[in-house]
Amino acid sequence: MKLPAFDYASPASIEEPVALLASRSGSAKIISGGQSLVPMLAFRLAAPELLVDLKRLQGLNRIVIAEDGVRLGAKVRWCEIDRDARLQGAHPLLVEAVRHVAHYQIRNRGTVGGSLAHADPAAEMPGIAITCEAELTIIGPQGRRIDKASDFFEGSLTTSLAADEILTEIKLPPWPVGRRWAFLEFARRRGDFAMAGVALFYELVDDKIADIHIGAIGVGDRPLRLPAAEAVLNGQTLDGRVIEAAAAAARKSVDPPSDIHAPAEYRRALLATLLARALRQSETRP
Amino acid sequence: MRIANSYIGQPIERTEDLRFLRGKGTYVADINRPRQLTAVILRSSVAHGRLRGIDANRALQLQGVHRILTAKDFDTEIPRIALRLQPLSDLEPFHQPMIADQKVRYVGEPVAVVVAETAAIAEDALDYIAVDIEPLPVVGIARTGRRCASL
Amino acid sequence: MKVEFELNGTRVGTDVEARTTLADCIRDQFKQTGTHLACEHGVCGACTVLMNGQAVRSCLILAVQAQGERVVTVEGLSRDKSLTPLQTAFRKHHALQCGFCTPGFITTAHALLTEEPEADEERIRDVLSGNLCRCTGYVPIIQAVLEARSAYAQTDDQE
Repeated sequence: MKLPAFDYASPASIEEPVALLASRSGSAKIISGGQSLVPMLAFRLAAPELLVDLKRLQGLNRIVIAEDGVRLGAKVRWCEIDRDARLQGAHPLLVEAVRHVAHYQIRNRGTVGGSLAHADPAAEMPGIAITCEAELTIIGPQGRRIDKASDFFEGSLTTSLAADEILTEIKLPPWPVGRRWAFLEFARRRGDFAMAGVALFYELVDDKIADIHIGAIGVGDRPLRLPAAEAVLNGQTLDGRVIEAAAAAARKSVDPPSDIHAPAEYRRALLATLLARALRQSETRP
Repeated sequence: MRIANSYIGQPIERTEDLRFLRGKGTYVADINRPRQLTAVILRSSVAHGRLRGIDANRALQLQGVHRILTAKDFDTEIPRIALRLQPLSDLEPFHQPMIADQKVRYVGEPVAVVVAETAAIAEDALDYIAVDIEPLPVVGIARTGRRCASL
Repeated sequence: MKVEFELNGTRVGTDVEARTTLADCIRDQFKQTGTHLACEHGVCGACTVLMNGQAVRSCLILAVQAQGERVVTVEGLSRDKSLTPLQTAFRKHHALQCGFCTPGFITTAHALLTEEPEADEERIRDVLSGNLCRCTGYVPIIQAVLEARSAYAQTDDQE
C-alpha cells in the first residue's frame, strides 16, 4: 500500500516547524519515528499536505534524571529508554511499559513524543503519563505551555495539541526507591495493541497501601486512572479479599468500546483480571 | 537386491536456499522491466449489490494512469474462476466472475483494475473512481443462509 | 527530492518523491530486491533492514529520512561465494521454505546477535515475534538463530 503524496520539510531549528505547521492551517503533520504515522498514511487514513520532520532538531532526545523527576525529550526512542541503565532504577515502571511497545524493530524508531501526540487509547506511553501524573511541555506560536497528562488526552487519537503546536518533553515525577509497582497488558499476539493494560504503583505505610495510582489502557477512548479501584485499596493491607474488591470496582467503573477485537464485557473482565494479577505482582516489586 | 537409499530419511540441503538466504530470489514483485506497468484492483466495499455504473473518467486523467478496466471492457462473457482442486459440476453456478459484472457478491470483489506506471499512482487513482452500487440484502448468518432461497 | 545515504557500504544518491519509502527506494531505484514487501504497514517484518546497525522496518521509513544514514540490507549481509554462519544455520535447520520472510529474519537475527550474542531462546523469540513466517512454524528459525550464536560470540566486529 503506497503512501499518498505530500510535501516534506526537515527544518534545523525549533521555530521553523512551528511556523511550517502554522502555515498549512491544519494540513501539516510532524513526523519523527513515523511508526504510527506512516501506517496511517499507508492505509490512507491520513492525507496531510506536508510532513515536517524533526530529524535535524537538536536537543529533543535527552533523558534527564534529576531530583525533580525524569524528563524525556519528545524524540527519545523506545530503544534508548530500554538501554539506559540509570532508568532501570530511576523509573522501573516506565522501562517495563516501554518493553511492551510493539516490536523490536518499531522500538528502534518510535519516539516518546510520537506516541503521546498520537494518543492511541491502547498505547503504553499515554498510560504511563496518566498513571504517573506527568507534565507535558508544548511549544507553539504563542510560546511554551505545560499541560497535565489528565488534560492532554482528550479522546481517541485526540490531544490538546493545536495544529501548530509541537510536544517537546514529558516530565515524570520522581520515583522513590523501594516503591511498589506493576505493569501488565494483554494482547492476542505479542506486540499487538493491548486489549487492556494496567500500570500501578503505591507506597507502603505501616504495611498499608498509600497513595495508590492505577492507570488503565484499552478500556476507554483515552488512558484512564481508576479512582474507584484506588479508593478500595488505599489504607488497606494487600490481601485476596481486597484484591478481588478492587478488581470488581475497576470492572464496574469503566465503559470500554465494543469493536472487532473484543466486546465491552470482555474488556471489562480482562481489566479486572489484569488488575488482580498486577496487584499480586506488585508484592514482589521492586 | 536392496539398493541403499541415500536421500530418504536424510536432511537434504536445498539448492534454492542459496538464492533465498542472500536475497537473490526473484519473486513476482521483484520483476522490474523497462516501461513496466502495475495493476491495482478497486474492490467492492459492499457485500451484495447491483452494480449500476462505474465512472473512471477523473481517474483516467491522472498523470501516469494508462487504462482502467471494468467488466464492460470484455466483449465475451466474464470468465468464471474454476475450482482447480475438484471441478464439480454442482458447484459451477457458484463460481465467481473474475471481475464484478452486474452484481457484487462479496466485500473485496474486484470492480475495476487500474493500470498505471507505478503502484502509487494506481492507488491514487482508486480514490477518483466513482462506483454506483445499489445495496441488496445481505445474508450474514449461516443459519439464515440455509433457510434462504438464492439471493 | 534528493537523498544520499550509505547502502551496503557504498555511498549512493538518488531522486525520490517524499512519499517513497526506504523499502521502495532500495527495491526500485537501487534494484536490491532482497528486502521484501508484504504487509506494507509495519507488522510483518519482511522489509527489515539495518539502519546504523539497528533492525528497522523499511516500509515505515521515508527514503528522505535515511539522509546521511548507514543502511544495510540482506544483500549487504551476504558473501559472494559462501554463506555466512547465520545463513548456514538457516539452511541446515530448514528455517525457510518459500524464502519470502527470510531476509527479514536474517537482518533481524543479525542485529540481535551482534548486540546480544548470548541471547537465550526466550529473548530470541521475543525479538523475532516482530517477523511473520507462514511456511515454517518458526521452530526451525529459532533453532537456526540459537545455533548461530556461537559465531557471533567469537567475532567482535560484524556489520
